[in-house]
Amino acid sequence: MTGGCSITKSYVYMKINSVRWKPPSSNFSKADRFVTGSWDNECNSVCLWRCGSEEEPKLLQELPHAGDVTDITYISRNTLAVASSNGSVSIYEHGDQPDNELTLSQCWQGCHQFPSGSAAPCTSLASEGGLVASVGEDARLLLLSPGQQLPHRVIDSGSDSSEYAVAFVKSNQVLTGSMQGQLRLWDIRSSGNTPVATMVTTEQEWVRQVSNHPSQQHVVAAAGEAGTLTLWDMRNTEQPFSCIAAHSAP
Amino acid sequence: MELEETLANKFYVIKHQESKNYKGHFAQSVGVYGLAVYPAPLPSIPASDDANKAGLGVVQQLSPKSWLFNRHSRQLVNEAMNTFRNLQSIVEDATPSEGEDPLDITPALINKSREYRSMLQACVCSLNSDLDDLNPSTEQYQEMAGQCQLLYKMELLLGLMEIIFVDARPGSLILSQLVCWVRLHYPSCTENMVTIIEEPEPAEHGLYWQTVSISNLFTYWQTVSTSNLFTYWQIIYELVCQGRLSDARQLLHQHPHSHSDAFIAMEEILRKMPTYQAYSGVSEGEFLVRWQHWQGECVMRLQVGEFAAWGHLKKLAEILSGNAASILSVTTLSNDVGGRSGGSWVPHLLASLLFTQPNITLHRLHDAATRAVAECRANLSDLDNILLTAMQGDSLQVIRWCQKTLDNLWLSAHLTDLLYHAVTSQQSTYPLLTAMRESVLQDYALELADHPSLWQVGLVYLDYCGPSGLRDASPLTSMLLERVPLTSDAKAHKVISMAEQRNLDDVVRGVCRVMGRRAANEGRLAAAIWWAVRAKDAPFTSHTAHQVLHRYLSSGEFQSSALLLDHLGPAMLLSDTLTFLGKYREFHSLYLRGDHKRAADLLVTLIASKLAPQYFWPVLLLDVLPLLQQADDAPDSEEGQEVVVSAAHTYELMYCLNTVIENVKRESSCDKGSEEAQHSGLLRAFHERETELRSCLAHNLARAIVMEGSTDAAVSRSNISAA
Repeated sequence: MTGGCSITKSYVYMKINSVRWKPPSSNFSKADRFVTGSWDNECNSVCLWRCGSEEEPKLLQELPHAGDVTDITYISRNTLAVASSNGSVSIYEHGDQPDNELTLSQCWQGCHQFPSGSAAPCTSLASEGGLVASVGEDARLLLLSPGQQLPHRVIDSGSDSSEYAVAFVKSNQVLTGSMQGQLRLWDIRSSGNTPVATMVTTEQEWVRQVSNHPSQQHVVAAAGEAGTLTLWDMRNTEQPFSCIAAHSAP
Repeated sequence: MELEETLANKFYVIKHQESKNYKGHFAQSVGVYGLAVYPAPLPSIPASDDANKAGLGVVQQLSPKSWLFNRHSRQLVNEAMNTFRNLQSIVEDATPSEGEDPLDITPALINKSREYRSMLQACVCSLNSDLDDLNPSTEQYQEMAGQCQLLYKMELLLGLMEIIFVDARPGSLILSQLVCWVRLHYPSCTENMVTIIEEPEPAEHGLYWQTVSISNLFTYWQTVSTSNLFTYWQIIYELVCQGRLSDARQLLHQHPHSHSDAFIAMEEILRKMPTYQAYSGVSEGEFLVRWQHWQGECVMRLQVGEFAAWGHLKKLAEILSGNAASILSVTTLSNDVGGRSGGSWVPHLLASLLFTQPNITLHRLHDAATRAVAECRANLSDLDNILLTAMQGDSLQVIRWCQKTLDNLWLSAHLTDLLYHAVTSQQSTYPLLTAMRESVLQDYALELADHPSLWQVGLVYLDYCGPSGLRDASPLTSMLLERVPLTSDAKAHKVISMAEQRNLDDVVRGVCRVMGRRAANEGRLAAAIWWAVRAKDAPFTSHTAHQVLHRYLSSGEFQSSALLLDHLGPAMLLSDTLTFLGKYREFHSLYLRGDHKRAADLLVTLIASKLAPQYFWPVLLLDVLPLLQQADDAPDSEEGQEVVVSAAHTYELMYCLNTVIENVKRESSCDKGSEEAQHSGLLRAFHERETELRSCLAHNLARAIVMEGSTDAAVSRSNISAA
């Protein structure tokens, strides 16, 4: 792509944890709105911004949010799910034109909880085909579908350590990464609590994020705490096929 | 709004009702600047609802609020930190190694000072744009407007400090710098000029009353505000007083009578005024001579009477000649400064300097300023005091004033740092300033540390607090890091990474222990072990490993820890107990896989090496039992019995068994209460099968001795036959 990219900035006034572009309303238009979630403030909020092609981002709307925002994902063109550090997952919807305002449409309160009853932060979200998968520090994988009150399926991962990252590999398989450096693949159609496969890196570092390749769904990248990036091929889960030391910090 | 008013003298009223036991409220400090207020005596019974409403059963937490933590000022805090850090690294790079000349960092310092000022201006802009959306009568509007004013004044002060201390050229003429400074901060005359020039008939503003007949004008005249009547000429005076002579000339051109002799003469004078440029090749003395010549010409023309027909032009000529009364009348009539009293004498100072003392230097600035203040008869506000102190050249006093009048230390901290570097770069040392810089920076960092979101910024400042060359983090850093509230894993990891960057191992260990303990309290023991291993904390690891073992004792299985222990790797060696735990888990997995021989070997090595804690021996012995029995079950197989446990190991096992039984007897004789504990879970199973164990051990010993004896015999026979 020729031409330089221009950078515009504007001040946000709070620490932002998550930024997502809103999928454009039709296949041919460019995305010009994005949503941000803040953390570590006394009152956190979810904000909607508009950003034209050469202008500064402009704040359109700000909604208060309970607890830190830990992750945001878009479920469909107009619905998004927001994960919070008080253990709940909320669904927001964009209204109709002209300004696509956000309204809170549903909230699963406290769906992540420690056995003692206190709330566990929900750490990551992924969505595929209308289903939302969420993992939290209570080491459980929940499958939620918007419109239903209770989670569709709860998978207890059987380990104590927090799960940190989740991604859909195929429409029925979910990959989660945990704090101890293990990646586990779960089949959500089968019952039972055992993973289909478990992959461990030698360094046992905390997997912060997991993401799949945009076009080749069986290639998965896992980001570790010490700054290394590990690439796995899901068809051959014995060894990662590439390991890159990318940064010096997570 | 004055600087004093921003010192919000706000009081917080604690509501209470008189009751019998009420003896007043106590306060205790919480966090860095917070207070917890509670009534005394503390209610010993749970307070009823009435007492709660009366504030009696309630602990209230107070913390001071500052405008620095508002939405708009966040960008100030963050950008200032960036600039501060860049400045420190520039200074560090410029520090000379031995034998070299120090680099001159003054341009860098000026740059940074301008960055601070532009930050303030940007903040003012964003505040102004938000103010437009608000209703002027709300309290929020007042607060934001006040904050705007405050930031404006801070920038004014910073500009002056830049001229006097940072960009200091001792002995040289500073008038041009002062002109720039004043022009930037009193822009109303240019704004007015722009509005007036846009009018079709700008001169009409002042001359309306001359051209229109009085009868139908009278009513209209009353509705026209008085300011419009002399706006045109007032603007010209102000432009001239700020030294904007070309703008003044342009405005004069607009006058319908600008072709008359008087106007042409005035324009010529304005055009010919000499201004001093630092590197123009004209020395100071020569400049002064030229200027005096020019002013002499001006005076002469005035006396001759060239401007007699035009009162306004005459006044203008008087100003140019340095007539103090005219200058005073002009500068104190300006509308914009009439509204606020801080810094209103500054334009007057500039005007009098321009036309009476163009060769002003830093040393004489203070005298000129006091004279200007006296002439204006202004009431000195705090801002004025600070400006005057700055002109005296007393940097320490300026900082002290700033600390006293502002309610947070943003300006003080950055100003002190800038001054300190400016002073040191000029090869002089000022120990008081060094000490003050450290103390102010520390206080500022503490202010930020209390904020739930800005604590990271505060820690950056602490890094640069110590004397240069000291690479260790200050002890305050570790204290503050330890006290950051750990609300989630992500925050804990952030604290840990910051501590690791600064080599604060104690803090890392402390944080990991807190998180590990929390996990252990929830029953998530594997997570607890993971945290302990992360910090390489041997005592805590042992402690948690023991907890896992105890849980195994009571429940008989590993539950969640299995996955962790499987993949522990070299971290197992951190503590003996953990190593034992890991190996034990390995034994389980070997056994489950059916590899009994290796499992048995491992188990016996574990027992023999005494790695296991004593309370766990019964369990191990119980585990040996199936292995011994397995050999029992196949006594007559033709391949020869596999003796899984050798004789020497069997002796070890017997020793262990005896020790355990003795311990049990000893404990039960002296402490009745522990009987309960002993009969839980696996321990009970052990007691039940003790005799079985003894017989199996005996059988095994017998068989092992026979086997080994015969093997030895076979080996020795084959040796003899081979020999």
